[in-house]
Amino acid sequence: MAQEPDSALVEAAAKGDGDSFTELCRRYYPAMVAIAHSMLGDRHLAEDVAQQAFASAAVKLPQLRQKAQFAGWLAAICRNEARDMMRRTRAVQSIDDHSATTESNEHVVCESVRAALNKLSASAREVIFLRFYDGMSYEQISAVLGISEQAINGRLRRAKKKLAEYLRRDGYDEVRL
Amino acid sequence: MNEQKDEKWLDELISRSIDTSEPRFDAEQWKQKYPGEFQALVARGARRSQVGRFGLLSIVMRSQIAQVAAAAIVIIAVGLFIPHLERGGHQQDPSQQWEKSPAEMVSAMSLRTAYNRGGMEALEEQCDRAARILGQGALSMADLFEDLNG
Repeated sequence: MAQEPDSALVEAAAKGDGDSFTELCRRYYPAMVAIAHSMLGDRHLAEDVAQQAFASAAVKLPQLRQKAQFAGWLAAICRNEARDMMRRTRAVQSIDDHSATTESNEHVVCESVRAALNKLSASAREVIFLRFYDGMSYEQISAVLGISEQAINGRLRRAKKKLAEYLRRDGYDEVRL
Repeated sequence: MNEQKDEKWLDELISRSIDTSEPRFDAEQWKQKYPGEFQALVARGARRSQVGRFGLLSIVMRSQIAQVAAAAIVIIAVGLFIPHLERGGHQQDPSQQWEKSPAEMVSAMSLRTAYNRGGMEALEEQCDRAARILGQGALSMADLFEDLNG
């Protein structure tokens, strides 16, 4: 089943095949977590949102007319779920700090990067999270965002330039992208 | 620093600043967390195997547009069919009568229909038509009864 193309899995899942659906979930879990993480700034909440998005998708799957657009459709559900979560928790203060235990220079630098990431537009932040999350191919990112791999590269480059600009303003003069 | 080094440094910074380790999807845990949604998905397969054409029809008829379209088709069909029924019940198309063979024209049912339509006059007329087709002259009811009684 791991070798099956998405379209076959989506067709089977729409007909009620639970295994095909969970295989799709396994494939797109990192992407959905990355999208939710980029919006919420909290990894644990992001995982909850991604799972909630799969639950919504399980119910709404018959409404999906163009099966080839499953990944983009799922990403849209995930963004909506993340927005709902934002309204519920008001949790979008900053991107979570997984190194907060140490008050080192490293911690200060990471805090600056997270602050700079928060200043980026939602789409720029999303492409950075998608690109930097492990276990995701360009093909998957392309399917999720509905753009070509070349366009992903362009968007990523612009996002990183903007990020470098914010860091320079924050005193990191050495970053010249 | 040159641009390439800067980019590498920034990439490393991003990786260190956010938790980007690959999240693992636990299907069993998810099924336990969302049993209703998963059952809704799986039950669709079970229902699909049970439903036939009528099941499909009922799914189609859930749409309000489909219901209105079906109602419109029924109304149009009835509207077209009623005049046809009225014609058939009270008066027969004369052209159809000429297409009948003489034997059919003097059958009990045909004669009864003619009598119902126009009484003895219509009955006489039908007999005359049958006679004309057979190449004989006018045939009266008296002749017919005489011939039948021998």
